[in-house]
Amino acid sequence: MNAWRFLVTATLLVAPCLATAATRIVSLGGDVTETVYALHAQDQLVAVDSTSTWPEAAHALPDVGYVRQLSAEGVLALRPDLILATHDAGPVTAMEQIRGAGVRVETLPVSRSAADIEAKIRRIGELTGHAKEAGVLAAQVSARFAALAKAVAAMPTHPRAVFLMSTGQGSPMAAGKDTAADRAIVLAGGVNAASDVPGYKAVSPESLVAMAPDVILLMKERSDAVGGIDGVLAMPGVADTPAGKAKRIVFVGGQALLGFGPRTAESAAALQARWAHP
Amino acid sequence: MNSVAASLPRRRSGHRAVLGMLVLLLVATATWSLMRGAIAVAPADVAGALLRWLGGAAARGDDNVILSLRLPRLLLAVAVGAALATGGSTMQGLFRNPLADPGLIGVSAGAAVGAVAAIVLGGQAGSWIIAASAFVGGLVATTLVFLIGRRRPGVANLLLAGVAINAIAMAGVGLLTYLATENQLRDLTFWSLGSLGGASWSRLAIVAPWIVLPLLCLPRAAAALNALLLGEGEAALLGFRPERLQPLLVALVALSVGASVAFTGVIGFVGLVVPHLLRMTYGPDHRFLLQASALGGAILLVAADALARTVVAPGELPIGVLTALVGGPFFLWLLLRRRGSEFVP
Repeated sequence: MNAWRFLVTATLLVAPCLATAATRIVSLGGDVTETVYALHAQDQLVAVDSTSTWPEAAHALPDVGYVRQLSAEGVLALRPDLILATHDAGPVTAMEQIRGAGVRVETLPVSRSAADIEAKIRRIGELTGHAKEAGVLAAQVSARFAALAKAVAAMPTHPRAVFLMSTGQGSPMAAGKDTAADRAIVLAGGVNAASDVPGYKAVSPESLVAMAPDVILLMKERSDAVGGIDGVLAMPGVADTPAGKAKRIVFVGGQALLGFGPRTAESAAALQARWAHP
Repeated sequence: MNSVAASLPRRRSGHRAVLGMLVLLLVATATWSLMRGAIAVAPADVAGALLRWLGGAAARGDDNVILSLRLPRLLLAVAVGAALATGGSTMQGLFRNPLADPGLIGVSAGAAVGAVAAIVLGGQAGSWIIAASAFVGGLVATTLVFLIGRRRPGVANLLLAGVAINAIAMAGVGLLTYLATENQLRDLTFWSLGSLGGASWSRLAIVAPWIVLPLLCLPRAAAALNALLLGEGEAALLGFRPERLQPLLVALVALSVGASVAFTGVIGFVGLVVPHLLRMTYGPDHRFLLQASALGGAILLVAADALARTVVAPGELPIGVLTALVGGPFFLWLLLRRRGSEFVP
C-alpha cells in the first residue's frame, strides 16, 4: 500500500467520526430536557438533572442531582462541552466552578408566557444545531397558544381555580401569584383564587373556604398520595367550597403544565376544554 | 474524680503515640479524598497535579479539578472538622457536661438565622452576604447567651440561656421559612444539612484565619479545663479563674465555629461525638483531648465529604446526612460495648 492510498483510506475512515463528533450536553431542568427531546437533539445529551422526568427515556441518562443542589465535579465528570441550564440552576458557586473549568454554560431565561416558550425553543434549537426543527416546533406551539387564546376569549365565565401543590402533613400549599401554576391557570382561562398571596403558601381549611374556588387543581403525579378525588374531598374545608360541592377536583400533569415547555400549550388547552364543558 | 487527676500525667507518652497515629490517619484520609471524586483521576495524576502546582508549572489535563475544586474543599473540610470537634471538646470541658456541643452556645442556630434572613429578606443576596450574615448571626446569638447566662454564677445558667436562645433562633428560622418563596426554601435546605460544595481558594482565604487562629489558642486552656474537671471551687484553689476562662473560651469557640458554619451550613454530630469518642477511649486529659479532637474532627469530615461527593455521583449528598449516618451507629456501638458506670464527663 503506497502512502497516498493509505492517506486517502485513513481520511475516509476518520472523516465520518469527526463529522458526527456530537456535542456533549448536560441538560439541567425538566423544561430544557423536554425541549431537547422535542427537537430530537437527545443524542447529544450525556446527562440530565433529577427534575427531568419526561420523556421516559431521559431516566436512562446519568442524573446529576437536584437542579438547585448541583455538584460542580459531578457535572464536570461527564465531560460536557455545553451546559443547558434552566434559570434557577444552582447553587451559584457550583455554576461558577463549572464555568471556571472552561465549560460553556448557557442559562435560559425564566419562561412564563407563550412568547417565552417559543423563544426558549428557538434558543435551544440554535444551541443544539437543530434550528430548523426548532422553527417548526415553535410555530406549532404558537398556533396552539393562538387557538387556546381564542377559546379562552369565547368563555362566558372564567372559573375560580386554586392549585394545591403539596397536600402532605399539615395544611396544603396553594399556588399564589408569581408562580408557574398561577400563570398556567390564567393561560387556561381561569382565575387564580389564591392570587392574594405571593409564592406557594400554606392555607388553612378556613382560608380555602374563603377563596371559594370553583375548581381545585392538583398534580396528577400526586394523585395516589392524596387518595384521588375522594381523598381531596375528605380534606378539611374542601367540602365547603363550590369545587367540593360540585366535586370538581382536577388532576393535571404537573410537569407538562407547569414546565412551560413544549407540552404546556396542549395541557393548558386540555384544562380549558375541561372547564368550558364540565 | 481524684483518680482522674492522678491518672493524667501517666498517660502522656501514650497520648503522643495516639496523636501521631491520628496525624498519619488524617494524611491518609486526605490523600484518599483527593483521589476520589466524580471524575476518575489516576493517583499519579493527582501527585502530578500537586507537584506541577507547587513547582509553578502549567496545569495539564484534570489538574484544574484537583487544584481548584478538590484541594480547597479538602482544606476547608480539615479546618471545619477541627473547629467543630475542638469546639465541642472545649464546651464539654467548660460546662462539665457530656451533652454540650458548640451548638449549645447558640452559634449554629444564630448563624442559621442570619443566613436564612439574608436569603429570604435580602432579595438576591450574594453568597458572600449570606456568609457574612451567618457569621454575624452566630456571634450575636452567642453574645446574648453569654450576657444572659453570666448574670448568675455557674455554668447551669449559661446552659439554660443557650437552650432558650437556640429555641428562639429556631423559631426565627421557622418564621422565615414560612415567608420564603419556593426557590428560597430550596436554598435553605443547605443550611440544615450542610455542604462543602462552595469551597474555593478565595473563600478559603477569607474564612481560614477566622477558623484557625482561635483554634490555635484553645490548647493553651487545656490545663485550666483539666482543673475545672474537679469543680469550679477546686479550680479556683489551683489558681485558675473560671469566671475569666469562660468568656475567653466561649468567644474563641464562637469565632471558629461561627466562621465554619457561615461557609458550610450546620453540620451536626461532629462536635458532639468526636470528643466523646476520644474521651471514652483515651481519658479526659484536655492537653491531649483538644489536639486529638481537632485531628479526629478533620478526619471524620474529610472522609464524610469524600463519600458525599462520590456515593451518588454525579450528584452529591448533603454532608450532615453522612456524618450522622456513618458516625451515629459507630458511636452507639461504642456506647453499648461499654459496661458499668465508668463514664467520665
